[in-house]
Amino acid sequence: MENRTHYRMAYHGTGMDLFRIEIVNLILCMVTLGFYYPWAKAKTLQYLYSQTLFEEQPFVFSGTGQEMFKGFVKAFALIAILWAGVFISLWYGGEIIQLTLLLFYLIIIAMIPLIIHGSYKYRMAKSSWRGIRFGYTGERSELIKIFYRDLFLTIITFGIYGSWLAMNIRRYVLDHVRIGNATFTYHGNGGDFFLLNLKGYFLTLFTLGIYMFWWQKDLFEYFVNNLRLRQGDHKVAFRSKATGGGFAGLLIVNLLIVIFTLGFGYAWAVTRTLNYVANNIDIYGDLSFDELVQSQSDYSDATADDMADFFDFGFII
Amino acid sequence: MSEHPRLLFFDANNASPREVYAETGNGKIYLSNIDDQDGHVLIFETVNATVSATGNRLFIFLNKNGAYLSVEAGHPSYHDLKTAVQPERKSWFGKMMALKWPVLVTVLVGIFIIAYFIMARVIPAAALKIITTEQEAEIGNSFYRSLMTTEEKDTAATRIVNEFASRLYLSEKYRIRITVIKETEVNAYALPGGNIVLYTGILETMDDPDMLVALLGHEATHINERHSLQSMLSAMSMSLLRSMILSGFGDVGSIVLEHAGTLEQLSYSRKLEREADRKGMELMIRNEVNPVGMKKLMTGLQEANDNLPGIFSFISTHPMSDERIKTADAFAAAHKTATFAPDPELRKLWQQLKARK
Ligand SMILES: [Zn+2]
Repeated sequence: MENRTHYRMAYHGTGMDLFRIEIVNLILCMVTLGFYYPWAKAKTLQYLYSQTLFEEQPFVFSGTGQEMFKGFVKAFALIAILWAGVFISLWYGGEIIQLTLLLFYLIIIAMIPLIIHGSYKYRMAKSSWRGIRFGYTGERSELIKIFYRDLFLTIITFGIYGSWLAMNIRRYVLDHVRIGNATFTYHGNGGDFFLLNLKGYFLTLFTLGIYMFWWQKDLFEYFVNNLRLRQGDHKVAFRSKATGGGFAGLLIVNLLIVIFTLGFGYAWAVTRTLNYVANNIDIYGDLSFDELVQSQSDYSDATADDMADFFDFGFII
Repeated sequence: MSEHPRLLFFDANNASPREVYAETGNGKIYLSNIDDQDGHVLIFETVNATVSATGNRLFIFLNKNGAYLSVEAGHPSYHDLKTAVQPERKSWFGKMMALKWPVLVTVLVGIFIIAYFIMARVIPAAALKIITTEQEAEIGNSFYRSLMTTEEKDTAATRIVNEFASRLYLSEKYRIRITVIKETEVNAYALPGGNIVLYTGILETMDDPDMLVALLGHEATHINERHSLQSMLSAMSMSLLRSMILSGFGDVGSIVLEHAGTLEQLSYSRKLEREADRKGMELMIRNEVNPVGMKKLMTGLQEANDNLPGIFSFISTHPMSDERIKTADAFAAAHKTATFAPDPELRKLWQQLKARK
C-alpha cells in the first residue's frame, strides 16, 4: 500500500440530543400502545448514523417508519401464529408440552439465518455514505447451508464448534457487504476465535472477572483488525487502538451512569460507547473514496429486521 | 480540510463531490457547478428536502435517492439554506423535539403515572364489574387447587372449623369454605369466591373462640368485598405493565417504577385491611360475639410476629400496626355496654378444636 492515508472517523452526537430523542420516542410509544415503535427505531438510527462522520461526511440511514411498520406487522403476525400454535398445543396437549416447546425453539433457531439474511439486506440497502448505498449480496441458501451444517457440528461437539459457527457466519455475511463497488472482506476464523475465547474465559475466571475487559478488548480487536475494504487493487485496513484499561473505564463508568441516573443516563452511556469505538479504530489505506460508484440496489422489506427485534437479537455481526 | 468553508454536492451516483453554488427561492434550491459557466442548473424542491446538523456542518438531503449537500459553517449560503429547509415540525415527533427536556421528562412521568393507575386500578375495577360471582368462584377454585397440591391438610381441624363457621353469619353471596393446613407458620388468607385458608400456626396463637370469629370475619370481608379478586387482578395487570416497561425502558427504570408502585400498593392494601377489620367486627356484632376478640387477635398476632417470609404470609400482608389495634380497641369500647350472647355451640367446637390431636 503506497500512498497510505489515515482516514478520519468521529462520532459527534451528544447525550442530550439522544436523550431527547429517546424520551420523545418513549412518550409516543406509550401513547400509541407500542405502535410507534418502528418510527422510534427509524428516528434513533437516523440520528446515530447522521452523527457518525467518516472523512467529514455522515452515514445516512434512509429506512422509514412506514417500511419498518409493514415489517413489524408481518413479523408480529408470524410470531403471533407461532405463539398461537404453542398455546393451542399447551391447551390440548397435556403430555406433549415439552415436545411443543422444543419444536417452538427449533423453529426459532431455524429462522435465525433467514433473519440474518433479511436483516442485513434491509439495513445495508438503507445505509449510505456520500450518497453511495451499502448492499448485502449474500445468498439466502448459502447462509442457510453454512448455518445448519455448523449448527449440527456445534451440537455433536457439545458447543465447541460454536466458535467456528460464529466466525463462518460472520465471514460469509461481511464478505458480501458492499459499499458501491467496493467490497468488505473478513479474515477471522473459528480456530483463532476459539482460542481467544478459551483464554478469555479462563483468565476471567482466574482473575475473578477483572480480565473481562481485556477479553472484551480482544473480541473488539478480532472484529476490527480482520476487516478489510477493497476496490480493485486498492484497499482499506482497520486497526483497533482499544485497550483493556480503556474498556474497563468505559464499561464501569457507563454502568455507574446508568445506575445512578436510574436508567435516564442510558443515552450518555451509548454516546460514550460510540465515541470510544469511533476514536479507537485506525482506518488507513490507499483507496480513494472518490472512485466509489453507486452500484447496490435498494431493498425495502424490513420484516427480518423487525423479527430480529422481537427476539432481541439486536443487529448481528 | 480546506481554507474556505465549502458547499459540496453529492449526486448519489459517484462518491466524489462537486463544489457548487446554491441559490434559494420559490420553495426551490438551485445548484450550479462552481467551475463550469455553461449555466447548467440543478433544481430541487425544498418540500422534499430534510436537514440534519452534525458538528459545524449542515447536511441537506435533497431527494429520496440520497443526493445531498454538505455545507460548512461560515459558507455564504449556509444561512439561506438553513432557513430554506426547516427541520421537521409537522409530525408529533418534530413538535415534541422542539420542547425542552424538563418538559419532556415531566410529560413522560405523567404518562407513567396515568398508565400505572389505568393498569393497577381502572382495568382491575372494570374487570371486577364484568366478572360474575360464579366466575370468581371458578377462578378462586382453580387457584385453591393449585395451592393445595403442595400442602398437607389438617382434616380434623378443617371439619371443626367449617362447622364453627357454619354457625356464623359470614357472607350473603359467597359460600365460605375453610381449609386448615398443617404448617407452623402464622398465616391465613382468603381466595376469591369463598375459600379461606388457615395455617395451624395461626390457630396456635389463639386462646379464645372470639379470636377465631374475628379472624373469620376479617377474611370473610376480604371475600365479600372482593378484595382478593381485586388484588389478584391488579397483580396480573401490574405484571403486564412491568413487562411493557421492561421492554421499553430497561431494567433500572422498571425497578424504580416497581418500587414506586409497591409503595402505592402498600398504602392501598392498608386501606383494604382497615375495611376488613371494620366490617369483620360488624360481622362479629351481628353474630353476637364481643368485638374485643379482634383486638385480642391482633395483640396475639403481634406477639407471634416472628419473621415470616412469603407473599401470602399473614404479617407481611397484614402489618399489625398500633393504629389498627387502637381502631379495634375504639370499636370495641363503643360496644362496651352491649351484651353478647354467642352461640354456645361455638365454645364446644372451640374446645374440640383445641383438644384434637
Ligand atoms: Zn386481611
